Amino acid sequence: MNADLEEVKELFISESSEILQKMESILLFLELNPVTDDKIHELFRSIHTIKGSAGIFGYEETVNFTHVVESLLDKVREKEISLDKSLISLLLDCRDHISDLIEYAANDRKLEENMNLIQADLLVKLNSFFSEPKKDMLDSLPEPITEQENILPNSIRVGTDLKHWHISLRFKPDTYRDGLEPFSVLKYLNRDGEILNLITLTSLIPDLNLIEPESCYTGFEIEYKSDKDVSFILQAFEFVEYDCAINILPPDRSLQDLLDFFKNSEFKTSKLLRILLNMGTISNEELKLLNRWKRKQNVPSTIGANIDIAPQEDQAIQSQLSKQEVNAEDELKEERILKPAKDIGSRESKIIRIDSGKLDHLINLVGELVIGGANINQLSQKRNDPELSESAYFMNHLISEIRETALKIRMVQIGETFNRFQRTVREIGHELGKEIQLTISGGDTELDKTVVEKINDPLMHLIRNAIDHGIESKEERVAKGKPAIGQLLLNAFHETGSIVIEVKDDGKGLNRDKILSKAIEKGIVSPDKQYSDAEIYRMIFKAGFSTADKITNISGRGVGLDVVEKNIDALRGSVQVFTEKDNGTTFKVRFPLTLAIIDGFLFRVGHSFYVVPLDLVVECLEYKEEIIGNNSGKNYINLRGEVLPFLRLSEFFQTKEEENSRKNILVIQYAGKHVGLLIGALHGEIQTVIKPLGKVFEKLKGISGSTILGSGEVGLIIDIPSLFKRVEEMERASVASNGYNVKIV
Amino acid sequence: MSLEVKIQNLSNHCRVSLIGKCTIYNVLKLRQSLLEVINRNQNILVDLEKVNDFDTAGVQIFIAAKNTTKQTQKKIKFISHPTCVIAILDLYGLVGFFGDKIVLTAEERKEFPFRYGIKKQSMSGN
Repeated sequence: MNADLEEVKELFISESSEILQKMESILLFLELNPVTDDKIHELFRSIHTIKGSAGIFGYEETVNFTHVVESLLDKVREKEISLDKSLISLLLDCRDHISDLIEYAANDRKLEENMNLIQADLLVKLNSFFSEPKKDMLDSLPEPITEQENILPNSIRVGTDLKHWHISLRFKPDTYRDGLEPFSVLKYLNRDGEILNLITLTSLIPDLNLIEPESCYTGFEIEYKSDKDVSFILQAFEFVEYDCAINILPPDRSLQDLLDFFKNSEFKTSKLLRILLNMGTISNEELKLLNRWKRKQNVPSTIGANIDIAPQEDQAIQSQLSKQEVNAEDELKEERILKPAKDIGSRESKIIRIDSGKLDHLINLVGELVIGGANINQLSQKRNDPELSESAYFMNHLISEIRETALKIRMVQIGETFNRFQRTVREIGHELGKEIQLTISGGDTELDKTVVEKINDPLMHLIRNAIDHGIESKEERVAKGKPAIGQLLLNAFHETGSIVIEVKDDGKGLNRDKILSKAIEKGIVSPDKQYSDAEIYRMIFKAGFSTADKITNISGRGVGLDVVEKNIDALRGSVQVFTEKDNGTTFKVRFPLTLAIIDGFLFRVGHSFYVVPLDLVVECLEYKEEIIGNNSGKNYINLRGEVLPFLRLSEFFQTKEEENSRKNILVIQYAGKHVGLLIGALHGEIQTVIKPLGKVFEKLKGISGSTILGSGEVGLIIDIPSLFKRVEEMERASVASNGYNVKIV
Repeated sequence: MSLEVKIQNLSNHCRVSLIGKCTIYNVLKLRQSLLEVINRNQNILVDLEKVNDFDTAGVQIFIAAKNTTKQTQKKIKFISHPTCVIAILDLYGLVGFFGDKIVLTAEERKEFPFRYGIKKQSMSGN
């Protein structure tokens, strides 16, 4: 397989996994909602697309299997079989099997024995839906639908001297409402030329019971003779251009025009070609050229397959075709099938797939650029050269825009990740005999791709945990007077520079006493101490902890939530638990939006530079000894009538403070709380490229990374969540030794 | 701007007489009448003699009716086409699609070449 095809194969694999994912969500949707034609068509198209693309690569196993599924869906579409829950389950299993098939085929691996068994089993089940089992089903050939077009020669002229134009018109639904009459438009055409032939596409018009009488469904294929040029013809259509899609094939055409024309049409090439041949638009000469070109390209594609008609046979085929033509049902089917190819085509032109490695490299380079820019900025300030300052300012402005755009490229919506859990919830629910409805909101919240990849596991654990431990069994729920169907909510939203993901269930809530006794039993905490509720709820994140009385398949082995916390820590995130007896539990997970470059706030403590994410900074206050009075050991101030606890960073990091230096309090907001940091000089906003600290400092608490300042000095990035946690621990230790309770968080 | 629909239930078919304008202004009524008739009857004859205005929206309903009957193995025939209907069927190349017998006057024969579309059945004139 050559490199080109290899690349296309990769595209196929990623695309089919997308399609399968979509199929899954449709099936899950249909399980809960009334079945609509739209959704069934979408299912059909998905499976058809996969079958077609698999055919291109010669994955016969996949093609054969998808073909059976497709035939079944066709029956569903024709309303011969109804899509009930058992069929949805079967289709979900088929989906999984197709996904396996593609994976095996793509890696050139033979199917394993158990997969063959699964396949046989599925086929038996599928075939049971067909009233007359079709034997030839497994032998039928693939019908590739994806068209590939490589470099096309613009130079090959294929036109005739006959001045025959071909015009495809598709009027839009609102044509009549806009006061337009297609008949007059066509009459108008006859003024500057002659309509040689015209076919009305009756298949575009829905059945009488479905038709929207005042909407326009009309489309025409027109063979037109005129010696005017293309701009003139387009002008004739000027006043309908909003109501009509026009695809024109000029008489003086290149091969490229012809291929473009095929590409722009919603019809299959073979069908369009039939129409064109039938109407006399395309000459035998053109057909020959088209064939020759196709052969030269030697790409497996439908154009090749469909137009490989030897010219001498044309006559016969042409006459045969005119008989078949405009067979309404036939046309209708073909069009339905056609849609996926078109959809993919339009999507491809909007979305570019890039190797994420290239993107990472770009982000790294942008990071270096930011540092370089800061350096120049610093130098320009030192030189005191206004012109240099100005251009440095301008450049920095651009750099920050480049930075933002580059980072945005990596932003993806969290919805797709969320949707994957639909299946998980359904499956686990089934296994445990619980009926659970998963509601997803905030799916369009965006976050860094690298973060998305890493939150999958912790979220999965939280969801499993919620289903297994949180939501009660049906009987229990009914006994408590709750609705039998358990509710699970996945929600995402942005909050001060972080993304917050909530996993919320309406189950029984955490049992405080049980957790505490279990924690004592496992030796996680000491039995003599008093713990606050929040502290107790946090114990569930400790390794080896499980309150489940019996161990289930899903959870209860005590691995799980500790992994959650570790994973979340690794992403510089944090997790909070809120719970209420019999009303449910909410896990609030917070992640930074991005892991690479942030807007930071630079300040100094002693001689060292520190950075905190700018989004977390609420305000800065000048620190005066008077405001806290004589008691210098006091760690809180009165901020406009509210108590603001603060942390003396110089003490915390044990750096030497400069004598008589000014001090400031930086008010930070995190997880809904305000806390002050007592710091030295303020240096303001800075674009911060986060650099990891390296192995030696890996365990350092309170610092998450470093950055290089314009001056070449190193600034340390303060990790607010871990700083909060560290302070909490210290306070707890001091409470334990001093006996009084002062808490910062 | 009105359309009158007369329905006569005969022994082996239902005769629908359309009187007035089969245009965008009346398509709602046209569609509703034809839909009801098709739902209730196997063979339908549509008399177009008194149709005095016709447009693409009207032809669209006819096509939909034809398609619907085809799928349900029912039959719909249109008869006594007035000039305004023939003009559209001719330009749109739909004569073959409907396959109805169209009776033309001598002048109409000159005016309408019937050369478009794909002809399934031949027509006869007088």
